[in-house]
Amino acid sequence: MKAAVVGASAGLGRALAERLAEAGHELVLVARDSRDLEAVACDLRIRFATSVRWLEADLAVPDAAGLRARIKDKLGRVDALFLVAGLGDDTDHGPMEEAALERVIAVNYTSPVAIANAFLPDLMDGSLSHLVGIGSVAAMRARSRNMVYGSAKRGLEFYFEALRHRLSAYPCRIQLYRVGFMDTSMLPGRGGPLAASPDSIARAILARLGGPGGVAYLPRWWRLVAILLGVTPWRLFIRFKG
Amino acid sequence: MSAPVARTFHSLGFGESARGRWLVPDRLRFLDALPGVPGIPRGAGLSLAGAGFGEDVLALDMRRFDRILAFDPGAGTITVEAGITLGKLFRFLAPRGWQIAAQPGHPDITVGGCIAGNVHGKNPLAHGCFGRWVLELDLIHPDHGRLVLSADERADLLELTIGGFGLTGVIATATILLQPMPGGRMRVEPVPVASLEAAVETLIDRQGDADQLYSWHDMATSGRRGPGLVFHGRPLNGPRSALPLASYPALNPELWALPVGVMNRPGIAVVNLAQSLRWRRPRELGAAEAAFPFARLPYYFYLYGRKGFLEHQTLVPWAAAPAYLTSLRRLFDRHGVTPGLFVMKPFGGSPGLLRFEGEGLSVALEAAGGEQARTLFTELDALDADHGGRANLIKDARLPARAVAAQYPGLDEFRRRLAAFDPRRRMRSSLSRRLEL
Repeated sequence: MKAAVVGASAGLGRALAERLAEAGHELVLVARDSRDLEAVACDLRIRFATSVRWLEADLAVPDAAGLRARIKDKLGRVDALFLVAGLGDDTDHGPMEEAALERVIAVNYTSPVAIANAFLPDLMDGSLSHLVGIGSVAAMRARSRNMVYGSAKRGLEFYFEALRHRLSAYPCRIQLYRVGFMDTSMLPGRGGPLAASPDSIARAILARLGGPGGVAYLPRWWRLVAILLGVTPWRLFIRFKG
Repeated sequence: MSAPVARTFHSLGFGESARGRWLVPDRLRFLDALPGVPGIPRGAGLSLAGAGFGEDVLALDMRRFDRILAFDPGAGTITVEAGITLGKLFRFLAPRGWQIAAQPGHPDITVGGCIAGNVHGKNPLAHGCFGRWVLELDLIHPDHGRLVLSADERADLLELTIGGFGLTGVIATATILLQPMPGGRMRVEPVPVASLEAAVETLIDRQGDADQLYSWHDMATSGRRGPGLVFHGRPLNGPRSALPLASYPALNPELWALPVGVMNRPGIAVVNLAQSLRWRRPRELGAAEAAFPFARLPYYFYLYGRKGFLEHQTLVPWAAAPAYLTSLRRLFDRHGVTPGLFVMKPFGGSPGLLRFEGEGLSVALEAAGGEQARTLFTELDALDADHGGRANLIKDARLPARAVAAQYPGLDEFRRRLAAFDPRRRMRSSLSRRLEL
């Protein structure tokens, strides 16, 4: 398989790239930090003796069509596309600086939507079989933390659902995961015992590749939290702050 | 990247603690502009002394930088980012027939920590300490930027960084000389000895032909003669197919230490009994098990409870060893302290600066934390100095500066060279404060 991972320099994207390389797939890694991409690519080539290339792209200023061309230039054809890049902001309980707000929206919403849109022809002609997006449990129910981030992730889910509806007659698989707290730079040490390792999430995503489409929770038990949050009356819910 | 998180740090064994800040960078750009001073690089946080944190110090957790950058099977060298763990390296190297020559016993320990502590492995006599195997380093310092250190380039700074406790800056990458892995399994023979003195003789006798050589002693017996076992390990000339490192339980005393310790004299007797029953006859260990004996035994550390334990390791000249051991027994009796662990091994390497290296006998002991142990350890400092011994700085959480001054002729030079390289002293830790480095 030939796979592209967008947001592969660290965290979940890097973990996914690692598991894909281990399985022997040919990879293109995309992210903003070229030095880290080079190091990750080096590491994967040495450990797994597989073809790993990389592309530098800042997802805050997306050029989706250009990115698609560059990815296809490296890989020829793409079988699986993972849109993993995400960005949180410490001031995302408002008010945020406008530049920071726009950056959060661009990385978490505009750019993955634009990239998926650019690859729509590949999804329709059957060359791109798997599109995987990464949402967040922050999009379960709106809270006073991660206000912009949660909205952007909720928007991304909406687009993925629309895409799934649009492509229901095609053989491609559209999957999106509401991922729980992970032990990454977005939440260093803050997820506590609830935090999952990016590696365990990456393994689960790959195990479900080709499985049911739509939105699912990872780790799975977050679904229970979502149900409970969903039925929590507003008077009680407004106390969940901090 | 998120802002640093305020947290309390403890050394392994709870011997030294501090309130500081914690940052977990995961991309190189975060190391270009390090926020605030002072800081200290941090690896797995398994040091017995407060080397990876400090009061009001920003601890830079380097474990996300764990990528293998180059591997040359012809020359037997590997270049890695310093946050890589020994376990991850083992998983890569063992199937390819290579190993790290001098590695400590837990797979979570990072290469950066091994270099900063210049740690030893199970056979320091033959393999020296970790620094001997380091060919080149990349060091990042907030005032000096990124520097390449090798025997040809800034050799003096390389010398200062190996066993420099992270005080010269952040070790970003390291090129390490590897050792061919002799065989897949190791045969470990337990040789019963009646006393500490008998063990010293056995250790000297068997020095010639051992891949692992150390003794373990039961100090809970009356009279404290120290009956025990000398462990003599030799690789079997089997096929070079090392068993991979299986998954192992996390070592986290902050979470799992018993509320109250059970390593009192009866408790220690039980643990010692289990050890002697386990070692009634020779055993064959897989390469992973031989390399990382503590991977499967995190529980041992939890038995000391929240008060934890103190460790002390001394390197005494061979000639002074018998007198040293006799005085040591008297100290245990006078203070009513029974060490939970007492281990000796023949040592080698070349001393210098603050390095725990050189010819002699290493005597390591662990005792449950508390007033009694602290008083005993204070007297140990004097005992060490009297016998020409030196204490291991990275293993003793309360070793005072005056003890190091009495034992290490290189202390002043270390201070002078560090001050010359970094007059603003941008790197600090609990250890550097305590030892006035």
